[in-house]
Amino acid sequence: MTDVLTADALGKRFRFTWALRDCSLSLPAGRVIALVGPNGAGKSTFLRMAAGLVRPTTGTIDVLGHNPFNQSGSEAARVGYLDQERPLLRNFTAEAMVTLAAQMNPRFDMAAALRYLCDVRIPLANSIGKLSVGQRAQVALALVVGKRPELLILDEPLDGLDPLARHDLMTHLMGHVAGSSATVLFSSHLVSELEPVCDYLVVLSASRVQLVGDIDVLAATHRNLIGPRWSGEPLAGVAAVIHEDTTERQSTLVVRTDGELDTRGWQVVEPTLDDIVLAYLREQRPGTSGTRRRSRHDAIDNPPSRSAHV
Amino acid sequence: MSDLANTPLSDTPALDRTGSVGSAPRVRFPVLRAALRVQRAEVVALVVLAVGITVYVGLAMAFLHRSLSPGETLAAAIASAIFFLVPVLVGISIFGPSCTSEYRTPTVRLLWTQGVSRTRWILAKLAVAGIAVAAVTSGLVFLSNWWLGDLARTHAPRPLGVGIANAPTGLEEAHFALAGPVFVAYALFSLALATFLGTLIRRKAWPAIAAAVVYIGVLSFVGAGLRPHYMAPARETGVSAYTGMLPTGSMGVASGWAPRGSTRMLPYTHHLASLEWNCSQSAAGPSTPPNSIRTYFGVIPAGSQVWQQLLQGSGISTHALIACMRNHGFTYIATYQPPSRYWAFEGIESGILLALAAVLVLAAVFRVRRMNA
Repeated sequence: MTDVLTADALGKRFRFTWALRDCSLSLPAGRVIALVGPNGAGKSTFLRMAAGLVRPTTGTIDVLGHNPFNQSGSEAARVGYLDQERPLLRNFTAEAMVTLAAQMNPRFDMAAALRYLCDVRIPLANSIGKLSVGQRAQVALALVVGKRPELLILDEPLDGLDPLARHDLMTHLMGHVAGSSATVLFSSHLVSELEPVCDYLVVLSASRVQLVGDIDVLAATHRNLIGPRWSGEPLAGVAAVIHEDTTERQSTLVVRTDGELDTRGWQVVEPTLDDIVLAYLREQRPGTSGTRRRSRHDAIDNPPSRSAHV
Repeated sequence: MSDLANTPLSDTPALDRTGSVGSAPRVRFPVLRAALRVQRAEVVALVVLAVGITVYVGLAMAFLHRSLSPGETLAAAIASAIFFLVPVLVGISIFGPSCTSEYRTPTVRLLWTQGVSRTRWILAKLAVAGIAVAAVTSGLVFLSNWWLGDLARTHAPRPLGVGIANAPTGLEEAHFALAGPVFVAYALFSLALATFLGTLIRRKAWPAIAAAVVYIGVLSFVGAGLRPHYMAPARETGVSAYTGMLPTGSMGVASGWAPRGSTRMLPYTHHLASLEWNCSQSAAGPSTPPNSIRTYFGVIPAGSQVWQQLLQGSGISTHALIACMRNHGFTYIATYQPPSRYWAFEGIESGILLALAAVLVLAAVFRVRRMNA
């Protein structure tokens, strides 16, 4: 499988703060990729660099075989980007927005976009300023999907929408993906929101990539271990202790495995995707009261975060 | 077309309508059409402005030009001011913002992720704006020529204080920038200036304010600093130079006393002034002219042009004065640009402004290509 996006030591600094730092990863084509991380983790910055809107401060990014910053029109036509703020031209009607997108994108499927907007009951003759937040999100998504891009980049597409609008939006998006070979890269700060649809995961936190991988592989190689107090001795079959939660009597570990686990004395539980993501995210925060923290690097032979495929 | 296979098909009339839209053949110049569509409100505003000016000038001419009443003087002054403002209005307040306002809003992230590169998009918007501005200002040039020509025919003597030339092809400063192709060039220059500053300053009103300040600076500098020197000026000597009797529609460049046989004008020193005074005394004969003349407007000092004109009225012969100075080894020289160079000057100045505009457009594109959205 070829890579749809490759980043190498990618970093972006805004004045004095790094929004994203030392990000190296490859994302395979044809997948639905979730980019997860807390607010301010650098998700939007990463996606804007992928869409060619922001110039990297360090490193390189390659999208569909070209540098996205200052890309040509034909290169840009292959990538669909939906901004977090879902910008539209306020005094345009929905129909005029679709016409404009068709004029600006040679492969635009105007009929499909308008059909979708009719199906979700968007009043086409109303100006965008008069539509609700959910309706605007539908219009914005119809414009991006109508480009029939090879890579769809969606920044927090479900943020601020009611459950019905989320469902409609996701159904539309997944229906499109099912009928094409497009890759989808979308971000969220909620894992549960993306879990049902995505099959590849990138965890971003504190301006750095924490985890990259196929969700099935991640699920198969991560385990929760609950057992007596653990004092840091090596565990057979454990490549890395991602997160450790130790009280007086017992330890709860989230570990990455690299072989047959020696389960003596430990209760093994399959973690949910949420558990895994939270374990990686927690490691990036300074200690909170009540738990003893140990950097996963203590027991790690090679840190998983920087390698492309876990 | 089966990308949306999951969405249930409905057979509403809208579907049929939109279905036929989708299968329509692709239009020509889609990007220019898109650029026109996003600037439609500005194009409408421009047309409204042009119609308003035409109506105003038409009414002013129909009802006022039969007499040189204070009403007409005021109307002509207002029309003159409107024409001066047109390049600022169309370039800086209408189309400059429409080409660059997106850079300070999230809309730029929508527009820059369509299948059109950001360079092509700004050039398409500038092309639409430029064509609209050039078309409307060209129309206004014909209007101002007609209006100025009519004024000139009606009132052969120049209406004082209005600042309009007598002839439709004069080089007088006020008229020059209003009546020829340079008017169009000024409007295009202001558009390019406002666009460049809009890419430089991503704020709401500041680019327009900065552009207006720079525009006025360039207008003054070109008019006063460059225009007199586009071509080597023609020269007039003697009485006609001294009394300012240059061909109608000329642009004066410089005047002063020069050593006989030389063309280098001397600074008007105390020595020259006293010599001129003595010559004027001898030319006036025995009666001594007053050192200064007190009038309603204030004291007019000796040696000034008004003073000389007043002395002429009192019987001093300019010919005698010039002859006297000639005997002392001085000639009066006036250099000027004759009105026959009107079209050459219009071409040169238009070329300068269009070259500046091209540089500003290139700079704007350079900025856009480096911009983070």
